[in-house]
Amino acid sequence: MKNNLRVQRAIKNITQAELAQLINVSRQTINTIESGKYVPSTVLALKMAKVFGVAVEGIFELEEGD
Amino acid sequence: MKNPLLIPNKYKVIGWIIFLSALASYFINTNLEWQPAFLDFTFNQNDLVGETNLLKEILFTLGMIGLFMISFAKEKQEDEYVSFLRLKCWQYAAIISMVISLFGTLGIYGMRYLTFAAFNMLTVPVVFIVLFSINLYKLRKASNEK
Repeated sequence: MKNNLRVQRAIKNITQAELAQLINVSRQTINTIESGKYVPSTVLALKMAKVFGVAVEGIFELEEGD
Repeated sequence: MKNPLLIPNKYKVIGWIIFLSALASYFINTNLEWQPAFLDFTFNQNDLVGETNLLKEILFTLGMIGLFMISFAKEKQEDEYVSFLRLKCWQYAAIISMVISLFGTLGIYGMRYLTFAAFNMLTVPVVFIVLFSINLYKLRKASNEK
């Protein structure tokens, strides 16, 4: 699964730490999601979408092989 | 994400204190071959009667309680990625323990097997704690570099 979390953060101009605080996880977790190492739960994906004011599909995208 | 099986973070420190003191006492006790007389105990189980000293049993129990507290204490920030790591480390710990049991059963005989089996009970929590600590350390290091 691909994501454009880094781009979304740049648009909203918030750091990993700020995003982490907004959705109540650690900065390390945001980092593993951004680097594609970890696929977040639906709850977390929805929380992120809410922060950025977009649909979940606006952040996450299926890749071939998923 | 709430996990009702976890206990508060402060038990991690308490667990380490209990575990390390039990471990140190165990080594001191084994090397000095000293044991308090008031813990002498006569057991009678299914017609098997014998004399023993309860010190080792008490230290082993304390060690187990300590390991339980360390492995089930919450992290300071327990989020879903930490839960994911936790599960992964428990799975590896279970596999490693099963492999050790397998080779131990095939290769260790007699009274030594009893000692091996007793200490192998600690393999799952010990391996879990080692793997989980390494994973958390790597996670913190990786995200600090960026």
